[in-house]
Amino acid sequence: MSSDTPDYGFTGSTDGEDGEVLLSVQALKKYFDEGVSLLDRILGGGTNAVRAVDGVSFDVRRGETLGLVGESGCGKSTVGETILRLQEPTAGSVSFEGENLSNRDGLTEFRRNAQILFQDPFSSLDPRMPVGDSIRQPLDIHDWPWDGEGDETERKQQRVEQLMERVGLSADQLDRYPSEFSGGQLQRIGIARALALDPDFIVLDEPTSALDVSVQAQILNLLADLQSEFGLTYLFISHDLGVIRYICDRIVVMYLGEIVETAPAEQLFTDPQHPYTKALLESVPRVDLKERERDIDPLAGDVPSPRNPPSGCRFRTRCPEVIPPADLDIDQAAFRDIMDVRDRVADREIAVEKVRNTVTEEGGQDRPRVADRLYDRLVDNELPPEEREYVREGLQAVAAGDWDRAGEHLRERYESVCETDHPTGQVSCHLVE
Amino acid sequence: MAEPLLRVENLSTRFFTEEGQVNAVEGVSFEVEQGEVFGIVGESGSGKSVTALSLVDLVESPGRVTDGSVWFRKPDLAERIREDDPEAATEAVDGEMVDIRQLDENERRALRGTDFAMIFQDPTSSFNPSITVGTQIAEAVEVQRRAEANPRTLRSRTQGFGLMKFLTTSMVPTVDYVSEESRERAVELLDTVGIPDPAERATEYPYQFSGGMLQRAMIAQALASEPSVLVADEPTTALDVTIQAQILNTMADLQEEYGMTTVLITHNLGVIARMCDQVGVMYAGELVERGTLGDLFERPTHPYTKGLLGSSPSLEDATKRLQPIEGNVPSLLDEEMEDRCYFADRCPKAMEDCLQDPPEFDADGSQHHRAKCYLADHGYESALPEGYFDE
Amino acid sequence: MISDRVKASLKREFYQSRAAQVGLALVVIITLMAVFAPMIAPHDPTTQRVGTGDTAELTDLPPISPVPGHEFVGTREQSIVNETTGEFRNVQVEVPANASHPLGTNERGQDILSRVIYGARVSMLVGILGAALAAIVGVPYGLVAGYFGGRLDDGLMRIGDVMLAFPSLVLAIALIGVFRDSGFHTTDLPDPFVAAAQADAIPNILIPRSGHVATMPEATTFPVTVTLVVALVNWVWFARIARGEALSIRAEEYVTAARGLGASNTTILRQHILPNAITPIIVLATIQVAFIILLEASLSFLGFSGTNLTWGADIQQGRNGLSSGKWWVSTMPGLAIVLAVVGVNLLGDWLRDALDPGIQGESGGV
Repeated sequence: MSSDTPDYGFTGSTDGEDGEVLLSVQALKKYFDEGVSLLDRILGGGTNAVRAVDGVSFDVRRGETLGLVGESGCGKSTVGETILRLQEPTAGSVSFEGENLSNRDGLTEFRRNAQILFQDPFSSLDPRMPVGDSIRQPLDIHDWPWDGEGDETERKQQRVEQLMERVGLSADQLDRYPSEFSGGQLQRIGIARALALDPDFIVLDEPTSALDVSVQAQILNLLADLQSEFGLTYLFISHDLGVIRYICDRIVVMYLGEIVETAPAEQLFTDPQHPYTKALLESVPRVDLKERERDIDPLAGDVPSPRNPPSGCRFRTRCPEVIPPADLDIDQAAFRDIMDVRDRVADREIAVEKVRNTVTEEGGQDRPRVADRLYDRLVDNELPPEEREYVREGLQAVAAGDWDRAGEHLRERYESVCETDHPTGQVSCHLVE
Repeated sequence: MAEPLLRVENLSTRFFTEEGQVNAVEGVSFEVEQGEVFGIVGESGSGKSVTALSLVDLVESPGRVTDGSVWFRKPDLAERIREDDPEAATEAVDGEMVDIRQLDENERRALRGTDFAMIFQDPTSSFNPSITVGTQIAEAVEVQRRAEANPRTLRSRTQGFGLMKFLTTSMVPTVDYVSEESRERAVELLDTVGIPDPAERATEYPYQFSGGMLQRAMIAQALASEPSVLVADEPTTALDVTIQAQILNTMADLQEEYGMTTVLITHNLGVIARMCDQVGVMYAGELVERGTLGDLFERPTHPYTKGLLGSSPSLEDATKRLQPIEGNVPSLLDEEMEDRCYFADRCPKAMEDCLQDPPEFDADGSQHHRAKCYLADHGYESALPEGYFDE
Repeated sequence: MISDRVKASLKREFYQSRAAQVGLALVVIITLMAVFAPMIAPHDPTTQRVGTGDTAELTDLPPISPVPGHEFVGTREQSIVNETTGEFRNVQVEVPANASHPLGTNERGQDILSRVIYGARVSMLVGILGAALAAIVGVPYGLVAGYFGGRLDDGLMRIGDVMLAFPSLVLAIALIGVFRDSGFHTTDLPDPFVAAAQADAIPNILIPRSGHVATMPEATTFPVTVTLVVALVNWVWFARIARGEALSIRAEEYVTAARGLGASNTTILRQHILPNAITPIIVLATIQVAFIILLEASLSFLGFSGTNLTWGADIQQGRNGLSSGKWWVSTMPGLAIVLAVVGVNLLGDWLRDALDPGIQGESGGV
């Protein structure tokens, strides 16, 4: 296969901050309002759309590999597809080589220069099309060769053979169908096809996630070699931090449709700033003998729904470093508990009826006892006496069924800057500003 | 040396498909001590999941376990078989160990529900979508409770029931079957695996759980029978990395608390590093190398193990170029397999002899660290030129 | 367009399945029968032999089995007048049957075997052309609806649903009522074999028994309206299947990839959507052929087809005979319909089993 490639360590080819901007994404938004019924739209103004991407801005510099990392559902793949106009953006703009792509005129030209490689090699090639035809397809669509010299069919055939061999496969296999290849081989074919028109920019959407680790390394090395050979610029989308670290020069971390941190690779991995980035890096199990002793404090809870993301900082519902109000002296675990109680009050997600019934069964029925019981269920950590009393008062309102008053009561004392203000900057966190 | 809790000998599983016979698992042998975590790592198609299924006797048609034994230490069962059927005992019992594969179907099923528990990669397909999570876990508790109350009878759902009761419970599942105590125990279990507000969550349906929560619920269900062996097949593969960290922490805590013996199947070397004491590396249906975590990570012997380690990108160090294993995983079709080292055609150190069937050798002179490779054998290695073995 | 893999799968399924073999045999036999009808049919299917003299005896002959060395013998009911009392009495009399009417004759003295052979022409033609026409209309319609989706899809498929809401036979009869007086209700297709035999243009080797062939009907009456109508009634099925396929295929990554390359919608529909949707469409088409054969038989049974030389019309003709013991007149064309429909359906099952990608998966999920 590609064993003839020189054996050198892969290093990025940019010189850092001042590279020329090839692609610029400004305040990009993509909402999906499928599943929102007409009635919802009339009544609620369409607020329940899935905000897959919600105001994302970044630059990709010529020759670099920009990593876009995040967990499933954070919107990273949607960013890739929206940039290439496989999805129409809801708002925001993308410009390529300084030219805004929102008008459709430049789109054909752009599509010649920008390609995409998908995650699943088995579904990204047409099973009924010989792989040679798949590689030839971009040439046909864009009427290659543009200089018009020589016999068109023959030159296309040569080009396809040359591409196939460049990615480490034999040109004899061109008339075979995708089902006759392994995942790694198909991904090589996908790469050959992406290279056909000699593009400047390729979006790599989880290109190795479906592959085994030994084959993944083959593909990563091939991508690195091709980048230096053809001066390619990559947007590398992945959830695998090891892969991102290996191949990327700069990294953008996404959470729930927004960017939380942008930093050069080395800096991001050695000195992460955003609490989410820290937690993400900490969560990855290392291939290391000392891994068992390493103490991981994983993030609690799950990602909130992108239909109804939290106000302010979107990470605040899971953040281990939520900022308490300045006049409040309370440790983080206790404040976390209070914030969780507040979230549940806001979502009305407390089973008051059930608690009230058990209390009644036991012979009591007064509100304070219900509130006490709720408190025991909801708060795990020891709170300072003052705060305990205050939270309990809020829960009494819950016990009385007055959710709004309970929410208001708790907000008055515990409102955090993380929920009122949307953080901005390279590191999107109030702690860093 | 004390006897291990689980001793797998020469286990082979075949699939009889239209394309031909597929040798999914080929002569796999390993031992797991009480309280240990044994990890099996391998790429897709290496037979690691089929090995897990073979252990708990869950291989489904067209697959069949064709050969080998699974010895399990269970003194009371061993004693009972000796009393009941001394003739069978000569074959199926060895000291305190019982060969599960030689037991009859009912005995095996009984073991599967109680002493062995399994958790799978995809929790959503392991739960019935129309029954609450709490009830489903309580059912597992109930099975165990009845089994304890009545150890010698078949531990099936019908036991302790009259025919009428059986009919009602089968027509209206959950009615009458699950006792209040079992429900309470189910809530406790949900609490143990770290589900917040377990009493409330127990009354919810699987679709109301996130993937991570459901995986916890599945672990709770597995714990219900207080199993001595837990077989976990890629338990965190479908999950995001932060959720994976939660689940792995929970599993490690439970491991400590219950002293459970675990067989953990994964393709992720990081998960292996985090969880396992002993590790087996599978390739093309064979266990090519096994040893302690230290043996494998610091002194890997089989070229495939080395390749696997060399091709994993590291979070700490991005400067070294990855060393991929060239080529692709071989076909497991019987007709295309010869008696040889199946890794030979991808192996950077393949020799003439590799085209014969290589036996397993002790590596580093340690009986615990073995590898199915001529290079593992010291006597053989000395015959090689100096430095042959180094990268 | 058919890959080696599909060919291998078709072959494997064919060797394994007895039903597929029977189905293919039936369809091939019936098709050959239809194409070479003038050479195979022992008599002109339209010649009537009623009236006086010897020919009178040729009506209502029962089917018989030839016994070697003996004359073919059948029985027939005959009324006899008792000369003294003047009463009529029905008796069974033995009649010498003509060996060349193995399936008997009808009340007009027409040879039933010849009519069954000729009837296959109309049935198979209407079945295949009707299904093809329905596919030509329905497939692009459904592909467009499914590929573009949204309101266009809603609109197009509602129209289809309305079509489906009518019972197909009633709809067909109504449509025939509209068209039957137009000029193209039926058309006569000249029979090339007969023409060639009559013109003596082709040597006898190519048309055996050319003297015999030359006496056959010079043209087959082909029911145009019925063909159009069965297509009109059934195209919606093709539209629905095609739409469903397009809907799922357009979400495939290779379609997204093609769009990313800047491929036009027409290119995508032609290069990706249609080839990947073709398998279920082919399977549906075979099943539709069987369905249309039945529908055509029903229509001609009810007298709407415009030609009498069809299986359905023959069943109708012999219907009265069923109660008076002349069972063969209806049963023989009925059997032909059953064999044709079963054969085509078995063929459809074979194609479905062989082409279904769910069955021909990779090596067994290890």
